[in-house]
Amino acid sequence: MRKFLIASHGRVASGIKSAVGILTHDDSAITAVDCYLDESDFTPQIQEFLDSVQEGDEAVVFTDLLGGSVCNKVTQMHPERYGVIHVTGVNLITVLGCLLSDEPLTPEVVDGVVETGASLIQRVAVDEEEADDGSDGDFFA
Amino acid sequence: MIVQIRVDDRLIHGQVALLWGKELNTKGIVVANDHAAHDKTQAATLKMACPQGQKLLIRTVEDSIKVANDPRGKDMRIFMLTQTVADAYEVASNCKDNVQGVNIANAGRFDRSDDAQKVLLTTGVNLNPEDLEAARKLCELGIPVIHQVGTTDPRTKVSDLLAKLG
Repeated sequence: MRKFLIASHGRVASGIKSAVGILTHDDSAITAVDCYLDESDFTPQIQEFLDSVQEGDEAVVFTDLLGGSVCNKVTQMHPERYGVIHVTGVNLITVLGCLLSDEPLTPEVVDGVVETGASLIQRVAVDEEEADDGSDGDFFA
Repeated sequence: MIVQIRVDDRLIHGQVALLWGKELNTKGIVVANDHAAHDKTQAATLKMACPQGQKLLIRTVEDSIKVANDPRGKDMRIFMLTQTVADAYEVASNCKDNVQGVNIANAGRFDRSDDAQKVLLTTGVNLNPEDLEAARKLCELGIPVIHQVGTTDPRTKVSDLLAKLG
């Protein structure tokens, strides 16, 4: 089973979960932990997720900022000991890429998803001249 | 072979890009839209939205009919997008043997036609008189005509939705 936890400062986590719900109509694989909205300790929720991972599951924890306290806390909980992959710098594209991956989520596959996701973060400068998508021949080739 | 003509008033966008290409296992997308075929900005935007790994053609409705009937495309799984039901009928009625089905997913929300004249077939499907007529004629072509927004959503027969209108 594929399962994800997103932990962030504030509502980035639940925000991304809601976007995934709108795009794919199914956000059930995602647990969202919005941290620092109150004084409560968020680590038990993360520990509960780590403890819930079973043999055969593909599990990823996403945090928001490399070097931030959420990322640091998760790192110190040793997700790798539970077979869980930790990705930081969470963005919608990477979460979707992991959710919809055709391949099992090994560290190498996740590296690929992260790289593709990063390449899709760009300043938009649409080149109208290049928009000609070629001949019918190219399409059918 | 056009595996599906999808009517979506937003043409290519996130959900289409991510989910439908995989679901239908298509190799290429044809956007059948007169405006997009002549507007470089819209064409460039559509190209940007097109998922990597899918070929893209942006053609007028008339040229899209030629693409649908092109023998070179017979064994190629192609996903076609139109903005209106009327455009989908125009294509489907001219290449019936090369179209496996029509999905009226979203229509009429941005076409600026008179709201008072529109009929709400179901959520997200607002048919102006031309599109309503086209929907009825599509259902008589002998190919499946459904309404299914997302790949995990239920699939409804458009003929059932039209029957409810009375």
